[in-house]
Amino acid sequence: MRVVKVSTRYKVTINLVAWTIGVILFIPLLALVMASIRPFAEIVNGWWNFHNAHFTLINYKQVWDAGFWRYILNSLLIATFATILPILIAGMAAYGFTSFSFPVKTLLFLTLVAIQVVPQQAVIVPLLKLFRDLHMYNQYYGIILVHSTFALPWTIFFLRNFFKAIPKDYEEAARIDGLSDVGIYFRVILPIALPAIISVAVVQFIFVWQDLFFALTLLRPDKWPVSAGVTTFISRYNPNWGQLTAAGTLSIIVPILVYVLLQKYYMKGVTGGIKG
Amino acid sequence: MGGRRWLTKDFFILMTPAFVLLLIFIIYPLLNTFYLSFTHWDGMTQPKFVGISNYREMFHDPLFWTSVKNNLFIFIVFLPLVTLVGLGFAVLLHNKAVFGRNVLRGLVMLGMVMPMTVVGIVWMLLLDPHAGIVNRILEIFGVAPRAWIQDPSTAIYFVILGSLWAWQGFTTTVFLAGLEGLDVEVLEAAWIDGANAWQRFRYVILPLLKPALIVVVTMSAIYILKVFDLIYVLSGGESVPMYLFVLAYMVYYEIFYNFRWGYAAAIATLLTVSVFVFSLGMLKRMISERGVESG
Repeated sequence: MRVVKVSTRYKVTINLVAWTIGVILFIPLLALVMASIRPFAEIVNGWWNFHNAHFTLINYKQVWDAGFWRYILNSLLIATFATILPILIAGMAAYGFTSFSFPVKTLLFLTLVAIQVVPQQAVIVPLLKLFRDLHMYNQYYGIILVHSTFALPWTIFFLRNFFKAIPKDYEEAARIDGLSDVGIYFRVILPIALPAIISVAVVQFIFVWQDLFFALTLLRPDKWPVSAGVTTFISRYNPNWGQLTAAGTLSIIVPILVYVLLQKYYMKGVTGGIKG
Repeated sequence: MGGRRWLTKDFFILMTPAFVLLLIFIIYPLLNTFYLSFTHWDGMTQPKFVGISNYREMFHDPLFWTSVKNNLFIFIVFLPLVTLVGLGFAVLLHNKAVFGRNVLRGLVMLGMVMPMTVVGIVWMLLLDPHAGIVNRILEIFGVAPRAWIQDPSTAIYFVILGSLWAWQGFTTTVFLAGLEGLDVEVLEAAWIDGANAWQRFRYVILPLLKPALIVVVTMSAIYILKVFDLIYVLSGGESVPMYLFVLAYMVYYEIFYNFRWGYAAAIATLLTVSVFVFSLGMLKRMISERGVESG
């Protein structure tokens, strides 16, 4: 493009606007953390008020002792398995879609595309009955299976688009070497597709970490993840801000860490729907 | 591709797990919900077929109408807001004159990666009559402090604000990806033709952003139709005040508080149909663009 002269005033203005917005977007997180490390009496006068400020970890200790670590462990367990399982299964199906032609392929594919948008509420009533009959209610593996299944449509779609771009030569060479289709999938395709798989994993992990509806409906409080566990500290009429925000902060450490470390992959996963 | 034999053991090993799971946990329950919406059922005894009785009951249920009204209001305010905010932020963050764009992009996504229940807690704190910063800032502009969330006439703005803070990360990111994918040559041509900044945006960039726009509007519509977490957070362990009901919460309420599973299924069906209606445009595009036939 031709060189455009940018005036200093324009530069200052646009940076001012952008960074004001940045600060506004950051205030909620700042509020959460600040309120969690100050005594109750000070929060009520405003967490932004630094006159005579004291800092304490007492809120964290109380929340931890109240058993909050349990919710974190539950979240870790559920989110980890509900990330690994669907990737394995979706990857296999996506490879099936790219390397075979079969009679009802179009129909199956259209079904997959449509299922992507099914809300959790659309299945919950029969699912509760099914869970009771199969003794899956309040079992980790029950909610893991449900989350995994809900991840399949978009994951298959996402991975299929990636697999399609892999040159056929790799497959042919492996086939000549005597590998089966399943063997090719695990030994050739998966390693090449690693970036796409990380993208899917990050998006799915954070998504499961956030889920509230299935957690509330399919598990009892002792197996709740943080998204639901944090609500046990809420009281409508006299909120204990210190404990509430400490629990909130503890709930977001893992997903924020995952996001910060794997930001590039997360963005790819989130925008995968438009760029393919 | 194309000619390979598909009736092989490997083919079924690859495809079966996914479709068995989909059948058990999505397709069968989805169809079953539709059937159950025509029954009376407490979740324990046998469902009793009652025709459209549940749907007829909705029309006389004030709770249902409150929910629909809330869903509509949130939808109508949220959708244009989150789209414009996302577009604005994206244009801003795409501008090379802005310093630290990567940090800003990270900030935009903060609300997007945390559980909505925590987003709810944050906004409860921000909007609190005593400990909240929003009231303090409004005071500077001469607005008297008020209990935004406890006041039935303003509580719904909590839901809109919380959703907006969380979801603008998505809309901004999608528009940004769209802007980055723009063809530089087209822009250059418009520049040489003497189009000014607004004309370039309106007649060149915006049409090219249409795919991103469709994704943003559709995904945002689905997201806000299903709003649940921010409502649940306000319950404080009990049931949510009636004036804040939305359809997704009503499904939960009818199952766990009223044990009217057939009625819950009817409301869930309605919610699902509205989600599908708003998704059609995007789904059609996904199918035609990706070329189903090309494998």
